[in-house]
Amino acid sequence: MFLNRNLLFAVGIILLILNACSPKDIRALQQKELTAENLNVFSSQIDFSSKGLAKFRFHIAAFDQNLSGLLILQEQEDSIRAVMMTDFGLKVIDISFFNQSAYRINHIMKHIDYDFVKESFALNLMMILPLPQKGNLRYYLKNDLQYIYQKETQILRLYNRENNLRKVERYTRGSKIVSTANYKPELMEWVIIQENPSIEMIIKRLK
Amino acid sequence: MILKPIFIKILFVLALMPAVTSLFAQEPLKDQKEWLAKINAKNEHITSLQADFEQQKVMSFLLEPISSYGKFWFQKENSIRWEYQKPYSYIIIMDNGQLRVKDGKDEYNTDLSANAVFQQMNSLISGSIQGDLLQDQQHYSFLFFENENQIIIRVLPKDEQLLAYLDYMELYFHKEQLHMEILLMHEPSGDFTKMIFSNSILNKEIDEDVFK
Repeated sequence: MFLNRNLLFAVGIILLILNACSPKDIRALQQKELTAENLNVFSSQIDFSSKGLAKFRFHIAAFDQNLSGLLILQEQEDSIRAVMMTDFGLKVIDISFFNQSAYRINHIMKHIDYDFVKESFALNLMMILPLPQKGNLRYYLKNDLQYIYQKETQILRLYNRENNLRKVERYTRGSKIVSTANYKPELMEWVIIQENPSIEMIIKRLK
Repeated sequence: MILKPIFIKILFVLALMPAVTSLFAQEPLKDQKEWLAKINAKNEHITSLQADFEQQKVMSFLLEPISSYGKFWFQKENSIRWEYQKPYSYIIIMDNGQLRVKDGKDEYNTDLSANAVFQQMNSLISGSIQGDLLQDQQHYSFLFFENENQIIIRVLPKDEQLLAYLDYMELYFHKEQLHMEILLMHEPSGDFTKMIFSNSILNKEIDEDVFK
């Protein structure tokens, strides 16, 4: 009995801490399990039907520099591989994503080989990839148009309309917004804007 | 009887083998100085070049190369326009120290001097066409090969910054016409990009607007 009460108290404290770290308007929402069916929203914008590949044009503006080229996503057995290359074909970055919290950098151009650059590439791309969920996750359902889920290291808020993922917001645990990804269906492109440091990524789907 | 079609296929492959191997066979170049003098003599008169190109990107994790096609313009000293037409259309212009990318309605400008990679790419490409690169022994070392129809010059950078993203380049010159047909860029990862030029027109006046 004593043990149970202590256990309940500990769980309550943990929930309180987790709740305090969420963006304010998430706290009021009803917690709900996100089913596999709901997760379909992730895959709706990326089509791997062409030999397991999806191709995009990308443009990145950061630190007064512009970089453009081709982004190739390849669906692999247990991961998604993302390779960005410049217009001349030089490989900029090559990342394998295993789930929503695990990735591996296979290659990055030496002159941009910094931890915060690698993390920015990975976490921003991760926002829009159809990756399996792993780890300690909590899900919320605001209404039929909006799903929110929270994970240990960061908080992602997903906006779904007509069964298509339209917007993703990434927060720190301190409720501060880090990145916003907006999908423009008429242009078939994602615009990802990261704040501090300011990075803009445009990823346009190619047919 | 069942084996017959297979047997015919094997014979067909065997018959083709000598042709295929001779096509890709590279041997050390004999008469290096003589060939280099010929190539330099031809290249130093190049003031402009227009050509069609095919770009093949070969990556270890992909079964097939990714190919793009388009048109290429070069004007001495360093003006270059890559117009990608298939499968996606966009334009890259390097001129007057600026890199411009025209992608549909969008246009992006970058100062080449602020981007070491693109600046070096610009110098490498224009230097390859004009032959300046082959005389720059301070920054590159060279290996010479030949196949039946081409002189192949492998360009090995000495600069550490360049070596970080370029293992070596190979320039393929036609033995008779002596202009560059193929530019191959090998990355340290083993992946490479192959630019194949065709229908080259040399020294024809190019409208200034092409580089705007």
